Parts: sequence; structure tokens; C-alpha cells
Amino acid sequence: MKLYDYVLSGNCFKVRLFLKFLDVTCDLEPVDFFPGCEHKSPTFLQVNPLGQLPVLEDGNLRLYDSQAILIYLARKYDSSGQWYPVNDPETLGRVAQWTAFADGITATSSAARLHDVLGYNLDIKAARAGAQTLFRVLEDHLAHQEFNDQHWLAGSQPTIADIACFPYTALAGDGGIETFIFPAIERWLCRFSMLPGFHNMPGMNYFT
Amino acid sequence: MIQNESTMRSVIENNDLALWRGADGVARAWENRCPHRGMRLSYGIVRKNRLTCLYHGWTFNGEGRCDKIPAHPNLDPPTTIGAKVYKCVEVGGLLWVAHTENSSEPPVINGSWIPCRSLHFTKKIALSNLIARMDADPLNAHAQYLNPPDGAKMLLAVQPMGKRGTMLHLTLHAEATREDHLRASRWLIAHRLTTEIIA
Amino acid sequence: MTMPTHLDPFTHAQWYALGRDEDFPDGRKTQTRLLSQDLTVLRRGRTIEVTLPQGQPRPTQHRYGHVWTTFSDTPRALYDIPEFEEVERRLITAGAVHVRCSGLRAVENFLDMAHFPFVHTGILGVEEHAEVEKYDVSMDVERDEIWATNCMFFQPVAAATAKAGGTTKYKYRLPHPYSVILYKTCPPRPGEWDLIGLFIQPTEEDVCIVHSFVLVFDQDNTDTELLHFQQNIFLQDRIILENQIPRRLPLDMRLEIPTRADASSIAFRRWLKANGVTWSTVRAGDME
Repeated sequence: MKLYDYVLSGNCFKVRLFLKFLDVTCDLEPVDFFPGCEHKSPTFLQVNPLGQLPVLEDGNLRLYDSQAILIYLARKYDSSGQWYPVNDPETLGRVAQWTAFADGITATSSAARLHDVLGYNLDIKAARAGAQTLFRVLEDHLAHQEFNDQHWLAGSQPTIADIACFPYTALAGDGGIETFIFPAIERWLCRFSMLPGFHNMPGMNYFT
Repeated sequence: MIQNESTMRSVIENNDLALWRGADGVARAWENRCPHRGMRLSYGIVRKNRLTCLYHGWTFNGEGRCDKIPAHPNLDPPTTIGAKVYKCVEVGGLLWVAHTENSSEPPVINGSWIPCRSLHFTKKIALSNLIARMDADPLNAHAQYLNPPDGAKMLLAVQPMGKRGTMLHLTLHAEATREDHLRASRWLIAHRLTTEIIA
Repeated sequence: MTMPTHLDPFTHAQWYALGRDEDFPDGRKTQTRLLSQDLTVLRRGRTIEVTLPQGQPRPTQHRYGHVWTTFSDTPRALYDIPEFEEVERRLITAGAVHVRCSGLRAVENFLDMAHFPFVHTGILGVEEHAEVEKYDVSMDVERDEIWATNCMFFQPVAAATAKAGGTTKYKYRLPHPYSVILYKTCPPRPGEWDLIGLFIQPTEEDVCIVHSFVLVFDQDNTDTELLHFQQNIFLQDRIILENQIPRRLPLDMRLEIPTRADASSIAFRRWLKANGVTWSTVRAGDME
């Protein structure tokens, strides 16, 4: 198995971390995303025509989109069914909902980070405001989950939805978004960091 | 709500604070700045009853005194090195911090209270324009009891954060049920919606 | 040209890196900032033009894989790095990383070994070996630059080329208030030094862009592997740099307590003070 990877990408981190959780080994193919912009090169566009990371190759399968990769890895390598609970329609629906929510976090919080760290030219005010709106929704949801002793996005167990939402929430500070005003999010991030196999990526400082 | 052996960042007006709780359950509020190189102590690590700065591992005891500098393991740090410690007490399920010399005493609140929500408002919020539609007893300049027509008695406190807006902290009397907490949280969310639209 | 209030002559007199050649697309103008002023950079083939908002041109030079400019008409000469002439070395430039802090804080963090076990845990240091042995700090009076030598630190993975843990020897060179170069022992070539350095572009007093390079003897790793190693380390530092209060550098020793491990930082702050640097530093009345 091979992962086309960039060390500072939160989307690549989702896959690297999940592989660790599942105790599955994988070769990494480092891509010069910045400053070389290798993901937009003709060679890489043959790998992923969208010019995005990560991309996973497993046997004859080639997959892009981090959330799609999480689903694939869960179905293939998680025999417990915890991470992607296909036999529980309600939980599965919630997993799909919060996994889709992660795309919104990427579009806002990750965009703010690309602007603030790597100097991308984009509407930073809109990116930060969009992230704030989503984080409020996430905060209220997580606080209400806690009232019901449900400590994860989709229920009482962590799922791929938690993995999908984690990195660009934890890295919001890189993009100038303060998360200390969202205490339920901070508690969830902290719980997540205590999952067995967790490791930091640069920009995170959870004590492990 | 700070769990044992954890830190959090907070802001009163424009004062940056590191809040943390040791394994002993005691909450502390310090200036959010390591005396060594200015790093925010809220990024630190709590082990037992000491806080370790993330940057160079300078470690402070519960009273704020630095008692370990890992770069010099054989050095006994001078007793003068310490974090700036603010007075802080827990009353009514809330942490009260005196961030200036002339901060008032915390109010007397009887009984046991359980934290419900700490909700961020983007605007500056005065208590008076929040509780207009509810029976309220003022407690002090920053807090009120609220008696909703249905459900448990609530305690609402305001934390002004300067340009960052306001945090509103809501706690419920210990007798409150899960449903009371959920209802109170929804009430506060709805209130935020109207407050921010009107303002 | 109007100069910002706190801009001192020493800061004004320096050359500053604005980016790598390839960061400026041919024939298209790029806007950037330096010392709180707007600049336009335009590349036409091998020539680079840097102009102020009213179109006045500023001098440029290409060195060390980067484009440099200065606001001064009598600039302090850009320092030499003779290792750039050694043909067997490989140069990897890691691109421009923006940080909300004084560029001087970024220099100081780069000089510091004591943070390795806590910020670069498991790579450049481990908590069980956090001790900083005494090292030497000296002034090169002729060139007006600072050297920290005989620096030793225990590291589990000192470089992308390192296979096992061990004590790594370091030297640090400070030839410029916004440049710092690290020399570290080179695992595949005992006796030689690998270089890693920062060329910092202070855009505002409390915001900077960090350009960095790796200049090494290495046959085991690809350029991209070296790049990832370098960026991983620097982004671990960035979270620290963005959380130091205040964002500008205090020169008054009473404001931040140093220890012997901070000898290079003490020398740096003294050197800035002796050269009359006020830009990007804490001034009287700032802290209260």
C-alpha cells in the first residue's frame, strides 16, 4: 500500500493517523506540495486529475479524497466495525453527516491556514468567519452529546467522522482562529488525542 | 469546566490567562506567560500538581514557583522565579478570577451547582439585556440567578473579553436533570441568536 | 521615502531576502511587504526589479538561492556563506512560511537548543536528555557577527540522514539581525558540517516571512524527503512563535529571565542593543 503524502497536510494526516489506529503499515511517497506545487504537475495529475492529496494505492485500487480513503480503510481493515458502523443505520447516517461536515471545515479552517502559513491568496476574512460558524455548530453538538454521555460526533464510539473533523479543527490556530472560546470542542480534541496510537502533526501539541 | 490535570486558555478583558487544575482538583489562574521566554502557559502540560511549559519544560508548582529547569537538571532554580498568580476560587460551579488588584470579592452562592454551557457571544453583552424575559435575582455585577418558568434554577455569569466579545457561563442547580441541561442550553443558544441579530 | 517611526539605522541598512527566484512568476508583478512598506517584485527572465509604491527602484542581488533587496543607499554588505560554493552540496529551499511574531523571535528560537526535547520531541530531543551543556559564544569583531560554538545535544534523529540517536555537535552563526545559520555534524561525512539557515523577511514589527534553506551532503534522501523533514521541524516551532507574549522581542533582560543555556540569546539581544536596534523590539511602556 502506498500513500502520496505531504507532511503539513491535515487531510494526509487523517489517513496516516487512521493507518496507525488500525495498525496497518503503508509506504509514504512524499510530494512537494509546497513550495514546489508538485501536486499540480503533469506527472501528478496522472495520479489524481484533481491535483489534490492524499492519494492511496492498494493493489489495483487508486483512491483520492481523504474521506473516501477513510471509508475504504475502515471497511477493509477494521474487523470490529467501530470506525464505520455499516450495521447500524442511524449511527452510519450520523457518521456520513459529520464526515461531510469535515469538508466544510477543510474549505474554511484549512483555507485560513493556507493563507496564514503559506501565503495563499484568498479571502481570509470569509475563511475565518466560515470556520467560526461551523465551529459554533460543532460546539453545540458536542456539548449536547456530553449531556447524553455520548463523547464522540456520531455516538458513544469514535468513528471516521471524528478523524475527518479532527485535524483542521485542531490546527485552526495556524489560521488565526482561536478555539479556546469553544470549550466542548477543546474537550473533544483532548479526548481524541488520547486514543491509542495518536500522534501529533506539526501545529498540534497534545501531550501523548 | 476544567478537568483534572489539564489546562485551558481564557481571557478577561484583554488579560490572557492560563487556567489549570492539578490532580489535587485545585483550580489555578495565572498570567498566561512563562517568565522565561513569554510562551503561553496554557499550552503547557499538567502532571500531578505541577504545570510544565511547552517551550523549554520549565516546571511550576501549584503556587507558581519554578522548581525545575530541564536544561540545567542540577540547578535549584532561584525562589524568585515564578509565574504571576491570580487569586481564584470556585463558587456556584464557576471559577472566579481576580485579574486586577481591585477586583471585587466573589459572591456567596449556596448549594451545589453543575456547569451546563460556556457560550461565546461575538458582541459585548450586558446581563441586563439578556434576561429581560425571565425572572432574575442579581447576584453581583457579573452574575444573576434565573428562575425559568419551567425547569431548574439557573446561574448565569458574564465574562467580558474585550475585542473578543463575551463568554456566558451557565450552571444549573445539582438537582437538575439531563433534560433541564439540554433545555437550558437551547435557551441560551436561542438567546444568542436574537441578541446577535438585534445588536 | 517615508520610513516607519521605529525603524533604526541598523535594521534599515540590511539586505533582506524576499523569496526564491521561482517564487516570482516571469512577467507578473508580485506584491510583498518589507519593514512595513509595500514592494512590487517583477521578474523578467533572469532580471528582477523591486520597486516602491511610487515606482522608485531598489537595488537587488541574487544570492544563496534567493532574491535580496535593501532600502538603504549605503547598505551593510550582505555576508558571505562560502559553503554555497562547494559543488558537492545539495541546496533545498523550503519556501516562505508566514509567522505572526517578530522576526527576531524567530531567529532566537532557531538559536535555542533547550526547546528540542519539548517542541521537537522524539526527533531533535527527548525529555530524558534535556540538559544543555555549556557552550561558547564569541563575537567576530571584524565582521560584526556572533558565533555560538561547541554546542552539544543528544538527539534521537538529528537529521533526515541520521539512523540512530546520539550526541550532535552544532555551531550557530549570526551574521545579520534577520539571518541565522546552523552548522551540524554530518552523519555520512565525519568532519564536515551540514548547513541549515533562515533568511527572514520582517514584513511588520510583529509579523515575518521565514525563508529557509538546507545545504547538505546527503545521498540517501530525496530533495522532497529533506524538504518534508525541514518543514515538519519548522511548523513545530511556528506554534511556539505565535504564542509568545509579547510578539516583539524584549531587549531588557529583566522582562524575560535567561539561564546559561540562553547564552546565545543573551549575546543576540546585547548585540541588537549595541547596534541601536529598536525595530521589532519591546520599547518602554509596552509591557504594562
